[in-house]
Amino acid sequence: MRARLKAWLKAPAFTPAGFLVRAAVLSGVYGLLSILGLREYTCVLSLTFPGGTPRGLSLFFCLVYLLSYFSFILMVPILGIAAGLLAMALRWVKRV
Amino acid sequence: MGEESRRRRVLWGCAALLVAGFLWIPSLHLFFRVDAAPLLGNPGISPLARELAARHLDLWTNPSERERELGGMRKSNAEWDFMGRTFFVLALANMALRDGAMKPRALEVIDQILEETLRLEALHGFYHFSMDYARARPYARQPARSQFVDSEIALMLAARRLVGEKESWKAALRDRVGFIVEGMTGRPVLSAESYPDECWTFDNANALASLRMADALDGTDHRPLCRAWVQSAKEHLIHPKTGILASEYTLAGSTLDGPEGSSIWMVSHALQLVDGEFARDQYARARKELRRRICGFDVSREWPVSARGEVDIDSGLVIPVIDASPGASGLALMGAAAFGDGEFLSGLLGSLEMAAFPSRRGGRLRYHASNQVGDSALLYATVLGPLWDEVKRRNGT
Repeated sequence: MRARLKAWLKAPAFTPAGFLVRAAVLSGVYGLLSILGLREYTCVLSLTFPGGTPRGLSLFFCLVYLLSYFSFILMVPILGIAAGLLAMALRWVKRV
Repeated sequence: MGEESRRRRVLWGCAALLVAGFLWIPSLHLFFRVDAAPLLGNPGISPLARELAARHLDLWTNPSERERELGGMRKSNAEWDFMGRTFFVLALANMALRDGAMKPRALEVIDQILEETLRLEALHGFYHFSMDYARARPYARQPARSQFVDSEIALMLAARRLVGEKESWKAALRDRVGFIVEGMTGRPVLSAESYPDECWTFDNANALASLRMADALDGTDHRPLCRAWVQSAKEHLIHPKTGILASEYTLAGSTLDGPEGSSIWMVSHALQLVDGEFARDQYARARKELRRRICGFDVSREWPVSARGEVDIDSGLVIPVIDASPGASGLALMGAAAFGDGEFLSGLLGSLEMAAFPSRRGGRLRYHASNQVGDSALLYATVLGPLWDEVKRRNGT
């Protein structure tokens, strides 16, 4: 089981497993940042800065969260769909 | 693994990513779809509006929470504190008209907001709700008055009285109407200053709407001033290429800022009480010039393509590439709701769900990317209608 997991994690980027691992990493980062409460800092988008955090740091947290969120809603599904398509294509190539 | 095989794998992988992108990106909006029909066709209060209102009602019953929320916003722009009050009062008035059971609570909170706002104005002057540059040079009008503050206080007072008459607010509204009329009459373009030699269409349109509300309440007749203002605006304040009202101009009528999304959506809504046909024309032009639909999501630009302006505190952030203004998009919700534009409203609400980070807890809804004024404006957009209908009914228009 562990060996199989290791193989997955080491899968080259442009393979179905590689895509899924990257999707899982992006999801994990987004989930972690959400748990850490970085969503609160998106108020910077309305030029409102939360009290108690320096403005520069608030802006940084906001940008990091936005990046992870848009990766989650855009890249994760794309990587998932691409993994499926690539797996089907490779199977088809093997057959012919 | 050979170089040829690796190259082929990368090629296949890129092709898969490209196809996946073509499949996913146009479908994304389906996961954030919001049906606008319950907001437009519903005579009651939608669940969305109730959730939004619950959070704001909490703010007005919890002083420390309110201080924290408004304090953060005031550091960026003191105007937002004031506008947040106006939008919330207008929203509460509409909610009370939609649901009689809400009336006692709504009036209690409206009175609290009015009393506190008037107390702060009496204590610090209208400057308390203005940006710092209001003190940079003298106002043409002496003693100085702000059309921004007068118009929105008049709107709040009139909204309160339209929901439930209160003797003690009668004189306050009468005084405010007097300041507005005095400030506009005799001026070259019939507009009063909000800042020294700066008139804002937003504030003057709100002022005219408040005059029509006062007419409905007290039997006065400000139609001649309203007609004259619209005539003057058509002659002096219309942007030649787009036909949209400029947003900022001098007392003499020279344009300082052209059409802006942060202005025209609310202006067209306020003008519904002044000149319905002109209001509808302005909305239609704004929709044509400012609406952007990207992969099923709607946003508003801050400026028409042919009249780009400078980013400032009023425009807020403008997102590069997609040219979307979160501030203008928030106010576009108001325009779309006011003119029953379900398609645009639905697209804007979808964008809000996708990019404003809603958070629902204990029946309370807030948008993290927004702030108190943004959420109040949104709440107002979800309930507006009955108050304006009541004014029109009483005025017989």
